[in-house]
Amino acid sequence: MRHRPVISIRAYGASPGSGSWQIGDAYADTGTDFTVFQKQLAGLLGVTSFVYQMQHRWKGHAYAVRFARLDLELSVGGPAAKWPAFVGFTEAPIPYDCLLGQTGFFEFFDATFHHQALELMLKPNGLFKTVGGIETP
Amino acid sequence: MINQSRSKSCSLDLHGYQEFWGSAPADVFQRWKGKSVALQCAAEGWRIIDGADDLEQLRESLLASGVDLESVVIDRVPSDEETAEEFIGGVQLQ
Repeated sequence: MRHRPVISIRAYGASPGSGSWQIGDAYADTGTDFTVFQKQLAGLLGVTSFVYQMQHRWKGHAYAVRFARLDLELSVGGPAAKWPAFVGFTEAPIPYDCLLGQTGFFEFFDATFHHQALELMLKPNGLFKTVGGIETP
Repeated sequence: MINQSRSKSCSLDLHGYQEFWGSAPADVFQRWKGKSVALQCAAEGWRIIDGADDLEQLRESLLASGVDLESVVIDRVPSDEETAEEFIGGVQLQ
C-alpha cells in the first residue's frame, strides 16, 4: 500500500456570492510546479475571468491551464490558515480534484513530511503573511 | 502549525472522514467507481449522499435535492484504470 499526502482544502469563489467548496482530495504534490484544479471547479466557484493561460504536459500530452485568483483555506478543527493564491484550472484528466503544488501552496508553508506517522506538518511562513494570509487559532 | 494526515481528511471531522474511507466496504467503491461524489457528516458518521459523472452534474443534482453546498465535501472514487495505473505525481508547466 502506498500512502500519498491527500488532504482537504476549502476553495472560495471569485466573488463573495459564489460560495465555497470543500475538496476532499487535494494532493499535496511537491513535484507539481503550480496548484491546479479540475477545470470544472472553475464553474462551480464562479470563476469567469482568468489572468493568463499556459500549457502544461500531463502524461505526454499538452493541455491548456488557465489561472485565476482564489482564496484557499486549510482547517483541521483547530487552527486554520486562509490565503490568496493564483491557481490553474486544467483540461488534463488529473486523478484528483486538486493538485497542491509549489506556487499557490508550498511557497506559503514550511512543510515537513513525517512518513512513518503518515502526517504532513504545515507551518505558515513569512511569504504567507506578506501576501495577506490569515491564521486563526 | 497545521497538521494534516497523509490520507483523506476533512476540516469538520478529520478522524471520522479518514475512518470512512478506510473502512468503506467494497460495494461503495464499486457503486461510485470513477464518479465525483459528495459526502456529508451525519449523526451516524460520514456518508456519500450523491454522486455523478462529473462535478457540474454533481452540483446540479445537489442543488435539485436542496443540499447546502457548503456542508458537503467533494471527492472522487478512482476508476479501475486510475487504481491500476501507477500515478506519477508532478505537473510541469511549459
